[in-house]
Amino acid sequence: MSDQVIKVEGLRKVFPGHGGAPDVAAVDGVSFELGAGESLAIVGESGSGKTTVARMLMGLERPTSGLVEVCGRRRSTGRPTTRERRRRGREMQLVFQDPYLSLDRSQRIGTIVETAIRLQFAVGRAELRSRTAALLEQVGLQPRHAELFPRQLSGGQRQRVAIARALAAEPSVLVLDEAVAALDVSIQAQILNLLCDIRDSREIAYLFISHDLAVVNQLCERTLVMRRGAVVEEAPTRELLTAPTQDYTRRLIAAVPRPGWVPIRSTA
Amino acid sequence: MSMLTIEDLVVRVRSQDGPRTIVDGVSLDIERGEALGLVGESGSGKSITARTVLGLFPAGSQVSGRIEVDGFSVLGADRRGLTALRSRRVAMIFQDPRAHINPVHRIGDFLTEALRRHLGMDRAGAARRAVGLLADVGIPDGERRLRQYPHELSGGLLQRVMIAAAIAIEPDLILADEPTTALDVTTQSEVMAILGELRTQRGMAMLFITHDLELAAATCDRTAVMYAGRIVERQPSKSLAQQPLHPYTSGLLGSRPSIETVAHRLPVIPGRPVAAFEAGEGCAFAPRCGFALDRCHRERPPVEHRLEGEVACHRHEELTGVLAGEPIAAPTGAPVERSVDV
Repeated sequence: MSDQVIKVEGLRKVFPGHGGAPDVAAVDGVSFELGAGESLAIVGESGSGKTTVARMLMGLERPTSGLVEVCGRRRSTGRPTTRERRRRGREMQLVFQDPYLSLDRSQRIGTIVETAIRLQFAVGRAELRSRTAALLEQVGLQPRHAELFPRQLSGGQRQRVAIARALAAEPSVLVLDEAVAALDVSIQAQILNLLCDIRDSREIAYLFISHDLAVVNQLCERTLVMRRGAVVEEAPTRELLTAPTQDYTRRLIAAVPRPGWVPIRSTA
Repeated sequence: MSMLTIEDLVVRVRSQDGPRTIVDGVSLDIERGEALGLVGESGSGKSITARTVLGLFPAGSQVSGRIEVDGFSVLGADRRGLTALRSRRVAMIFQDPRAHINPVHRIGDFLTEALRRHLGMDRAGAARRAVGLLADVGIPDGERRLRQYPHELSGGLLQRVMIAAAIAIEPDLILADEPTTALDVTTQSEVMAILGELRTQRGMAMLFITHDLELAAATCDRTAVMYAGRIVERQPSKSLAQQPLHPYTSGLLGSRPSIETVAHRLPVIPGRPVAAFEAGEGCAFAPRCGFALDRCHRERPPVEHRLEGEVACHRHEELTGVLAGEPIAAPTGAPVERSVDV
């Protein structure tokens, strides 16, 4: 398929052990593909390696071995040129978990979004303004928010700004690393709906890193379950949740609180 | 007599702009052996309420109302009385065990401190007891664990150590403040099961603070929902989840995605949660409520008693049976659109 936006093959990351401890393979032979406009969830508990996969995709971590292809181009591990960085920015953008840490606190919201646009596109002042306003509107913010600083916004509003900034580059893929995990329940629903709307209005693929099966069910067509650095199971999300083939997936599903749920103790 | 009674608790904390109300007239009670879930979003005042039970509040706070633990009045108690309360009667479990266990002491020191100091046990006896406690919370190799330091244990194991320390003094009441929020789902399930077992075996009462309505509903006898420093609804957990009385509860239940159904768009509560000091004259939820009338914006609704429980909403009678509860499970394989009610 030529319209794959991400292709990962045999990805592996080994961290050296400290103080004579053995090396740790945080990610151990992970392969998956993400097509244009698709949404794939990587689900796992802490230590499963899901965030390390995201970091390697973004070039924040250098793979020990394996292949990473984004928009049909292999991502080399060498130091990229400025031009290459910009090109990569149009291919893939990242939204982090914590909207309190990921925005520059000394910049106004409007400036944050404008900077992201100007990095990618040579546009005049009027065009820059109208694009910024359009982006803020798309993520559900009002024009007056452009004048505010991040500290003047709520957590949910900040996450909207982070999404607007990511969309400014018009990327083919958005990597969302636990992007709704830190939000209040009522705000989480608003952001999930926003992500649905964005997908309806433009062609964009989501790689959604999460520990939350319910959130994943809401947003992603396919789900990949990771445990201890390896892929346990990958299937369409509905299929994975209704007919899991692996014991570990069954255990994850059984642990989600819901009506009539009884917590299970596996240890004596 | 109830194990815990809170009546008309008001907490104001100091801020640059003068005193700010964080808890605004909370009343609740927990019977011996009962678990009460206290659910709310950030700023609702749920954690402050729990801390106040131990006489813990920020310096310069103004606290009024009545708190009684098994007849002992907490507010106005002297230091000796509070120490006795904290060391023998009530134990607290926090969200992040790493922030509450001294990293330079071994697990053994942490676990045996209370036993030796408050129960007067000798070193060897306390160690034996600690191993037994660790076994109770599902840690079989207790002797080895006692010699380890906190950084050598995973978050899930450390939270079990925290629970072991909490039950060491055989408290009558456990205050659990988001005890599983930082844990993986499978570990959460374990920890909740352990807490449930210990509670029933020892007849301990529990105040369970969480943002997760589904978790509270599944593990507590009754659940109270807090918004802007007030309890807006309290019911037995099962009926709360199936037939919420307050639009906020219904909104929370609907806006949480489910593993059983998929809605194209989730029914959302507009706006953001507010703290008590940000709320206006009327119902604090009115600006976000799809059912709000003029009156809701002007007059604060009182807590009204009903057969099922309590609710603070002007329209609770008209809305009976109208508000949606938890989503109905879909037949296998067929995603079902959830109805949008709020």
